[in-house]
Amino acid sequence: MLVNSLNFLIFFGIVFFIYYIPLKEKTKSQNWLLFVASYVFYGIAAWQMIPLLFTATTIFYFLGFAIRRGNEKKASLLTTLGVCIGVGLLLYFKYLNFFIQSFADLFNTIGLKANWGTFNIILPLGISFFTFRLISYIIEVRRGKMVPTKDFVVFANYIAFFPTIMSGPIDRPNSFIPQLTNKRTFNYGLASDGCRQIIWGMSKKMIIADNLATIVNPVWADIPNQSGSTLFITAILYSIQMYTDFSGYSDMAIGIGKILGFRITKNFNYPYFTRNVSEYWRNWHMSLTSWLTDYVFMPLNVKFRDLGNFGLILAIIINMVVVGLWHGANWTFALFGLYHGLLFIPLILSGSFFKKKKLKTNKLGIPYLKDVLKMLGTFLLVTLGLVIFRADNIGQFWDYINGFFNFSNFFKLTLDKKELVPLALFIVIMFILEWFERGKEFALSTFLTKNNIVFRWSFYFFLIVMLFVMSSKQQEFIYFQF
Amino acid sequence: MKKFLIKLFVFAVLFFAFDKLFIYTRNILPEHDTLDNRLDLVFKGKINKDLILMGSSVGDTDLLPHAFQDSLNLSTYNLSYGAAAITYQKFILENLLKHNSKPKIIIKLITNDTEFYGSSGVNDMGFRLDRLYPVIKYKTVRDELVIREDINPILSQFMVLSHFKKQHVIDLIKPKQEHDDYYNEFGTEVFKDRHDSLGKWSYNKNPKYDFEKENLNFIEDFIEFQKICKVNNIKLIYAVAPTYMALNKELLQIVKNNLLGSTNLFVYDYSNKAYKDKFNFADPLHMNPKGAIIYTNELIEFTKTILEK
Amino acid sequence: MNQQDVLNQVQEIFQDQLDDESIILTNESTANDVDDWDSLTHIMLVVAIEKQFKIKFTSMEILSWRNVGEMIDNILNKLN
Repeated sequence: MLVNSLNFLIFFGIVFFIYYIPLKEKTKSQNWLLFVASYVFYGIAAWQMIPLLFTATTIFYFLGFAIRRGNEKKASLLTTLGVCIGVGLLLYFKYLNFFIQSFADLFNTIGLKANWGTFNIILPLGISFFTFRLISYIIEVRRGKMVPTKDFVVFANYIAFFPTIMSGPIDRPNSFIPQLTNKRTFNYGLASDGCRQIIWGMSKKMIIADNLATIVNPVWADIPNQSGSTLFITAILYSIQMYTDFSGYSDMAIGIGKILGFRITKNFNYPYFTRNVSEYWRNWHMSLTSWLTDYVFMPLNVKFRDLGNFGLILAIIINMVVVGLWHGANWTFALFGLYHGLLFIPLILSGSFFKKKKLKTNKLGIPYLKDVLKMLGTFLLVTLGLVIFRADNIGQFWDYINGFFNFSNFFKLTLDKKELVPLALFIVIMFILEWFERGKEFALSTFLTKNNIVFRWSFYFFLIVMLFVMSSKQQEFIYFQF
Repeated sequence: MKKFLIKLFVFAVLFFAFDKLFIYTRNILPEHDTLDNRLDLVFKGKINKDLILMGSSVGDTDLLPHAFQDSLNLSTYNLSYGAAAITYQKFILENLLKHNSKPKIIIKLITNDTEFYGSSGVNDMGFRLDRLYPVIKYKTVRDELVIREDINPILSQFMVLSHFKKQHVIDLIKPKQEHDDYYNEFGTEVFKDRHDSLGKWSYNKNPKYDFEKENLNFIEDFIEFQKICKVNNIKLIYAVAPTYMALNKELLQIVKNNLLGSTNLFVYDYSNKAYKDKFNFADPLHMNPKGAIIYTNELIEFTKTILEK
Repeated sequence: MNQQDVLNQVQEIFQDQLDDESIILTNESTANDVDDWDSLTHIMLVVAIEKQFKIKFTSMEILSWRNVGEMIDNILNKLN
């Protein structure tokens, strides 16, 4: 059940009415409803994994208490245990996945047909996301930054909250659990803001990302027969696909949360308007990067604090490799992380890593050339990183790069211009809207509320018409696989 | 909460009404499809002909409808669709019979070698979905698109906008090009840049049938197609079309195994050197106009004997 | 040294390290209240504080502070 499907609309409609009408202001019952809804939602996608999710939740619920009550030594031990369980779960399932694939490949090469369907079902959806929530919880308890919650339903909701279980954002317990225990009344402003954000997220996903997928995928499936210019443009399109797909999903999740009265943590802050890689990572998949900053980078940085810049570089490189490997057991992800880690070195050595310069514009709101060039440079660096990320293996990445440097018929663009032109138009509109709203939560936050209702609704009508007409075959969200 | 629900409701109602404005746009779509409006003519009941030619792209390149019409004195129309498999041809046949007067005779081409090849997904069986979109105003077409999992079964019931597809809208907006293919008055697609495009293809003397590629649904529809003709008392000729390779004997055997007694099988004279001559072909699968004359004449002679029966 | 002395010295370190004379710290100050005090500059501040008071924190201690007050208590503990 994809969040941008009709089935989800029906599912959410039912939850919404029960939540706000019979259960109005009954926080405990609302939590029970969310708990059931979340497990139903997860169960529809992967019912086999419900015992795993539930058991892990129960273990960490009790671990939280034990850490709180235990003495220093015991607490430290239990925290380590918890982190090991969490990380172990992640490693086991991600590597098991990897093994299954290898075995299936092996079967296929010796002529036996491996049944992919049945193998794929057992992949634990959202495991990278919910294990990170579990780990975050015990570390925060251990650091004394929060009191473990007594209410199991509250805790289970924090782990399995249906808008975010499949692919984040990864909420922190300190900000999310209090929202579950507090009374939630219907907030008109928040709910309509949520609706706007959902429409915006759907537009990014269904008008842009899904259509880009139909252009990008065939190119990746047939790299040797592509010209350099095709590969170059496809790489750029993939960067845009990645952004619109994942930020589109995040917007939808956050919007759904808002309608239910929750503030889910922000995941993207206009990452393609950043001027260096360090800035980029502070604005891209923010819930993951801030998680890793707090629980991987900071402890390392504290440990290495007497080593000066060298310690900092080491901490960053380790951190970025972890960011990469979080996506899965593949060398491409490790290389992707290492690549980004190395990009930090010049920034640290030149000192620009520590400075946070505000982006200035002229009177018309247009940035200065120097900043534009920096943004373009950052975008291209990120794009190269995403080529590594997208590749199935290192060999394919090399094929891609070699194909790009094949200058014999570099300019023979083999992409379908008929498909590309209308899409390019939408991409430009999106970036212009985002540019002028970049101080706001998302591109439609205030741009529409400033206008009268006729303009506003016409704009929604336009987007919804486009959602119908432009939507191609429904594509799964890229981040569902991580 | 009340305000929110009322607003949401008003929005939904307004959009629902707005959506219905697109009924007009949807219904004039076929008229704007200047390239190929044959399916619309089928649904409008305007294909009232004696002889109907069917097949995949070989039906366009290898057959000369005017020659059939003149020498057999039968009004003739071509309902071949490039890349279309038997499942799609069956769909055309059913709707032809439903909305038009019955033809006396149908000639359906069988592509040498590849007739039964195809993957087996409902959505990927040589079914020309792109041709269905211009005529989506017909309910039969929408039902078919639902079966083919190409439109949402629920949404398509009440949202007219869900009847529009990006690809088709783009096709309509895009200006017509000089070198675009076109359809002649017999319904044959004329390929502008396919004549005599002699490539370095070689003649396969001993083609093998690849059972891995065979789609069993095609065989079923192959039989079904014959049954429909039989029930409706239409003479049917299954005519094997030559490709630039020897006749695939294994395919021929499968065709024979699945032939009803009522169906007439025509196999071109494969001893004729013309069918081995590169200069009669436009590419390995299709004949050029020169080759089409040879094949058409041979097929006309065969058809005469069938008509005399 | 009492709570206030430590606070004053820490404040000077902050002003010096973050290059901002206008920083005023209280026991309740957090990273949210001071511009440029983030996870990166935090380490620079910690290193400077350790040097100034000639003490050494454990990682756990550094990661547990919720505000300036807790950090100051930690420093006082080490000094006594």
